[in-house]
Amino acid sequence: MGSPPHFYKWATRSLPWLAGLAVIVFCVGLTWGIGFSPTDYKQGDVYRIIYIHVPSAILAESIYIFMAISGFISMVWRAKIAGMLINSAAPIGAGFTLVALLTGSIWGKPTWGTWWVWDARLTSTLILFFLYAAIIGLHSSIENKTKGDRAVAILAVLGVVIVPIIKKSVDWWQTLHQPSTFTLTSSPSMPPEMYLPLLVCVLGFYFLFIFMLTNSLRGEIISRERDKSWVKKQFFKY
Amino acid sequence: MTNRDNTLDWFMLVLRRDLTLSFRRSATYITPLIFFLIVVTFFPLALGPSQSLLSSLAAGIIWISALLSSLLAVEGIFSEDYRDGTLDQYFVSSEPVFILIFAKVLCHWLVCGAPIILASILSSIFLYLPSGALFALIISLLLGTLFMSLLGALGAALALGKSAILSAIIVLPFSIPTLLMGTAIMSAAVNQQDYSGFLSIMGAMLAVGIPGLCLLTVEAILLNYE
Amino acid sequence: MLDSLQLLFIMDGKGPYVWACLLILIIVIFINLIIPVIRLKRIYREGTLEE
Repeated sequence: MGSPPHFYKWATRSLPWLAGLAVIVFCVGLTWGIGFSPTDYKQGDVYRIIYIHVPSAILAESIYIFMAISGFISMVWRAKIAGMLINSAAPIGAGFTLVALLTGSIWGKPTWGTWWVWDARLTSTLILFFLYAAIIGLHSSIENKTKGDRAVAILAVLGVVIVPIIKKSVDWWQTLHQPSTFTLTSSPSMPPEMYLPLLVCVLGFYFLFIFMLTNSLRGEIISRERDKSWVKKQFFKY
Repeated sequence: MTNRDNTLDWFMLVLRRDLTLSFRRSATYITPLIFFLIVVTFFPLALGPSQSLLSSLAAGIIWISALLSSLLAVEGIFSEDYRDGTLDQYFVSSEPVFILIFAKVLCHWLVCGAPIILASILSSIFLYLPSGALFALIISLLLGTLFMSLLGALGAALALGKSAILSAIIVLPFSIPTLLMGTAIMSAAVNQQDYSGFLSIMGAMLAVGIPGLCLLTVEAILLNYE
Repeated sequence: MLDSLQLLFIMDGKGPYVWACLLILIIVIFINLIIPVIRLKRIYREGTLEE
């Protein structure tokens, strides 16, 4: 079940379906949100960034948790595929964290008047980006990929303990140093015409993540197993 | 002799051996100290000698310098023992390895953390830290540098034989809670508020961190034996 | 039809912000999708070279 050839076969077969599902839900959500949802009375049209920003931020955290779970599995059961999953998920997670940060600052410019505020959430997202960077850097520095998987698993597991502490302490830090001038959460609850497309967007982003992960897992499996007989038989015909 | 005494003996043995080795080589405790003082000196040079500005930034500057120097110092903690086979002996012994690793980290903290704390007293004068906050500075650095040594040991184990900057990249994001707690203690002390709450959070982090980080460090060292 | 599209594009002057965000999102997703494909291609090429 957990063997790489099996996973490869499964990934190749399901890839077009995952792609179709992801593209449809993603496009429906974004078109609905950006094109057809009503304009916010306070922020105007710029609030439509929410349909990109919030799903990216949600994914940034979910992917980290996903990596920590795979890390735990690979540490305890030494499952090869779990290690590969961390390695394929890390760049995707870093990408979505970057999108969340950049869109956040683009949104901040017209609404707050500045590109960056040292708000608790912004800060902890930035730190999350550094954690992803640390994981990618560590993995790429280790020649032996199986060894790299286990090293990264240790970091991911440590991260899942530390990330809540970081979030909590950044919250304290923020209340200590400056009163929170800008909060996104205190805005009045959104009408359904606004949050329904947001929900679709979040769903679409999750599907997109699954599709991207499967896509990148295929490459990972082949590059790791290129000396194994099943890969040679299937692709290189010898 | 019960098993527990035995382990404690081994712990003391490793601690004593590492302490002896460190004191024979003066670079181990002098280099982090000098590094710390140089970094501290750079801040007034960069920010200007204004007394009020430096006084308000002092706690943060000292904390950042202490973090960086204890991190850099811990970078080579395992490389010597890995090369000459001492670490192999830990793993073939029947003792729980993470206790021996903790002995190494503790030794490192005694040898590098203590001079840094002494130097921080000196630099609190350089940077015009309000004198009421001196005790808070010492006690918060005492806990903070131990946590940094533990984290740094994990980074050193993961990046064994690699560049120092890699282990710094790995460890620094994880050291943020310590930094924030430390500066929270300091700003409470400067404003003459009660900081025992922050101190106990730091203590709790250490209580979880000592066994947890040592176990993860053992796991990370084991990677090099495959 | 064309007018409403233009309105959507400009969005009261806030259009550039929103479209820039969308562009960033698409670039990041595209990079993440294309890298594994390039990697696979290279492995195929190297694999056939070996023979």
